[in-house]
Amino acid sequence: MEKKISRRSFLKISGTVGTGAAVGLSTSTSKAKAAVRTEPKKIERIPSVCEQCFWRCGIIATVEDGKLVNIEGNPLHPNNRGKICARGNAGVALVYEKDRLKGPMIRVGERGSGKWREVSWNEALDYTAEKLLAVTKKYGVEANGLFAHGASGYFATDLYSFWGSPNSAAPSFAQCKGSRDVGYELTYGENMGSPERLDLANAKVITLIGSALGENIHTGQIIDFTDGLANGAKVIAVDPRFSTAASKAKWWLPIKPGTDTALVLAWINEIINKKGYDETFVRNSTTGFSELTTHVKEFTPEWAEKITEIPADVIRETAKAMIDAKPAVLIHPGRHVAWYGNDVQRARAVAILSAILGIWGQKGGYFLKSEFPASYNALDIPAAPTPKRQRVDGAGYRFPLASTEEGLTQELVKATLSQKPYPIKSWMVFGQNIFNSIPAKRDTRKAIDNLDFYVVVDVRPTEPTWYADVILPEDTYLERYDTLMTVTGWYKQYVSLRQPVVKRVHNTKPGWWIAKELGKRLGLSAYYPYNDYEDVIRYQLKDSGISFTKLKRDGVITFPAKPFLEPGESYQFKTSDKKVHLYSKELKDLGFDPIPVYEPVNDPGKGYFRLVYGLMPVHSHGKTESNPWLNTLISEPHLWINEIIGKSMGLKNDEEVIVENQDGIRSDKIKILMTPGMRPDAVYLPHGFGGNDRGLLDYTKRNISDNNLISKYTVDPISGGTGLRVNFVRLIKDEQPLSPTVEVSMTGVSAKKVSGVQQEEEQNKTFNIQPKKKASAIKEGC
Amino acid sequence: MSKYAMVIDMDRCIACHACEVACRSHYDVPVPYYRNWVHDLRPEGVYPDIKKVSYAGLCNHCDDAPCVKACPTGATYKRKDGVVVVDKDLCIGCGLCIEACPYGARYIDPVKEKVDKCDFCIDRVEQGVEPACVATCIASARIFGDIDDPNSKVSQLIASGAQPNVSSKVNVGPNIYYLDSHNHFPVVQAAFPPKIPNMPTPQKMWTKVLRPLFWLAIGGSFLGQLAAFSTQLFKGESDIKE
Repeated sequence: MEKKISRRSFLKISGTVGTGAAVGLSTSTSKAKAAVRTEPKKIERIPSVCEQCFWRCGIIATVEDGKLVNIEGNPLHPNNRGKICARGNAGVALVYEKDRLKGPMIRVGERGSGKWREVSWNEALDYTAEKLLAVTKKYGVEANGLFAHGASGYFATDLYSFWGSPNSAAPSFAQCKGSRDVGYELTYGENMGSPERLDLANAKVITLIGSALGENIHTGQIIDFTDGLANGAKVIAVDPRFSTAASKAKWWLPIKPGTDTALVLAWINEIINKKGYDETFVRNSTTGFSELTTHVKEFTPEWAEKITEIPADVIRETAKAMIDAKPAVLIHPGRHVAWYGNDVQRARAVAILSAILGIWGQKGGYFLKSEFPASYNALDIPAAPTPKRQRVDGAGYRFPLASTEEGLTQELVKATLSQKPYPIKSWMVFGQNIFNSIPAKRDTRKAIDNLDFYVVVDVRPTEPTWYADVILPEDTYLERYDTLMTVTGWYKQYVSLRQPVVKRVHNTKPGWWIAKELGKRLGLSAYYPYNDYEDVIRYQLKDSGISFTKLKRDGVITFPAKPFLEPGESYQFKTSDKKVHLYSKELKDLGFDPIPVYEPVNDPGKGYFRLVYGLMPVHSHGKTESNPWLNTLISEPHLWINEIIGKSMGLKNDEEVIVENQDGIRSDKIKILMTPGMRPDAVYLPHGFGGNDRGLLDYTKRNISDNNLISKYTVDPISGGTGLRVNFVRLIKDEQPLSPTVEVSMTGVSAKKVSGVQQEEEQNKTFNIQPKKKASAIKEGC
Repeated sequence: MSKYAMVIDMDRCIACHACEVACRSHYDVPVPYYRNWVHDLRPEGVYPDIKKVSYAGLCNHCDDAPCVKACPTGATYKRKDGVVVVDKDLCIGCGLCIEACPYGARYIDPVKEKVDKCDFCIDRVEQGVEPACVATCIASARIFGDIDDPNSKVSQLIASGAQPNVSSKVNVGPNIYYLDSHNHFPVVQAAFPPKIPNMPTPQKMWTKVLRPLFWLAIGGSFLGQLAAFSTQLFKGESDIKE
């Protein structure tokens, strides 16, 4: 094809050819070199903290003449150590994303019509306060519900607690790690925190139960995980899907979804039977070992094989690997554990397994929180009032161990739908995509109809924004201050500072300012004795010995930590008797099983598959699909399906199908990925894509969100955490439901060579994955 | 003298794509083009022997670089330190180097209308800073260094078995090496074999280079005349010196 030469290059080449003069301007693309100009660019390098996900890595932003041009990892930051993931790098594109919310707006059309008028901040805030006060006057302050998430979400949570409404909730508990935290607190008296205190780098065996490290990217954790791999760690990857972690693993255990507790109980059985536990730790630091021994007696590997479809000898072999490597066995506690609605008990099982291997405070195991050497000044503000009515979500009473700080989002939605136990008449949604995080999004949508007022604070116009009465656009994390971020559970302790690196691009405001200005209008001025959040941070640090100037300059200040116990040192656990509770009297007293039992899961039924989901390394929740630098990497999810099953249904890779769940809820067309690395009874759909984000231009425009298909969920009676892996789906092509014409069983596991191990033979365990029979007639049904 | 090379440790790479985005950010690479890449292959094999492989790649800075030979203006050349670079002032955007590259490492920037590709971040390297993709790699899977120094980490990794992506048909002396103990590299080689360089033919030289240049020369002369005429018009004849 002929190359057309543009006017610009024409002129340039003309300059050299036509007149013979060398007039080439420097067009070096390198930013370092780009400084060679007549007017040198003003280049600033400003440290801050990332919020493309919630790990909060240290970053350094390069700003040229006021424009953010680059983000890199802050080498001083002990967590991400100078490195930063794809999403962190792409923060640059977030600031300049064309679909951002650019100024405050008040709705003028019907709710959901997408018609607003642009207003001043004063008008938007006055209007919002007026509406919130009207709800308060009519129904009481408790009628105001809040969904908040992220670092600036704390400002909103504080605002509601100052105001006296107990009804705030964040998805980080019930849709994420709540049940894990409760399970670990019941066992150890403390949870694993965020960032989790996992010594992956020094582990000899890394056990991942549904933790897809590598697709789930938290930079510090991946640095340690890959260092661990390089140091020869053997990975046991328990996952119905051949994840990136499974591809690095010595053992991939393609477990039947929902049966993880059975596997863990069998491991405990085997470890106790073989006397492979840490005898000293069990004797000195735990209670309930004899009850545990009796309890797991019947849970043999053979018992578990029938349930999990993992061969008993593989369960024994992997148990032996853990026994041999202890205490350098890193059993990952998981992060998003909201799977089946009995997740506290599974987390408890994992915590018990970790406990008997004695990995607490040990190299290659769980490390310890340290004592932070500084204390911050507290602002001189009144104490928050005690709410007059009980919270509607049941946290702390209906769900006895649910966090009353984070609350239960789905219960707040339910209460708004039913208007019981008392009316909820306004919502503020602050930095959270409630349509993509909370299951049963149709309930969420319907609940909005019961509201007198609905205000959204966000950076991008996601689906929940569409129905807002008022939109308050927030600065990106690169344009604002947030609270100090102090981490005591890491190899080094640190405090890091999020500060604006670039002047705000649009008529947006930081979360702290929005909360403060609303607070003033709600009569809460006493709680906001400042005009600038930088002053708050200065005041907090004034007597701490931490220099604000240094923190601002370096982005992070580190302190030594004591992550590991000395040999022979015992640890005072934060439980009532300072010991690890293998048997939980606390649970017994609340009427729950004191030691975890396996609860059977339903089979999907013919033609149906269990819907499982997970993350992709280049996207965070629903936050990044419209980021052009990330969207170009993965612009839509593929539905993973077992290759043999897919072929038997006449499917081809990348072919589009419609996915329909047990309630008849359908997706738009989704491309499929057929692979032997997927169990035959489940399909996998990556999370974080395409709901119905009409305000976003750069996204798929198709309803291919996993959460759309998660119309059914269960609720953990202990924590209130949701079980989201309880939906069954079938595939529809040309309006016809597809049904596999083969049966595939997957009772096997691959044992592969690990890097660096020279002589180990490839051991292919028994497996059986050939077509068994052809179904004569395709029957529908669940 | 240094000779730069990179080793990609496939055992460590978890296909997070951070390298790709860091590079885009550093060089304003317009979407959907890239100077380096991670191509994710779907998990394949026969259960239970499954492999999930990703191919992290970039310009191979080949010793016998076809792109250098294909470039009609001398814009693409190999530096003494082994780095293949594009002099943007000389590049006419003809694209012949793109066809010659066995690795698909080059693109034409649609705005600048120049060819662009990885230059090993040579500006950073000369200042003692690692390439951007290496600096950001959260798995420490990219190792950059000097293979003329036998003690460098890259030299040691190559000695321990890191392989370049070459085939029996194509071996132009690439300087990107892959370290792998899971038998993943053969999957990459099968899926992304080096292409046989598509070198310029006289026909292509005419349509892509000479003909446009011919018109440019004419246009240039015309413009030169125009400039001289305008100068005359505004400044008067006496200012024009022979």
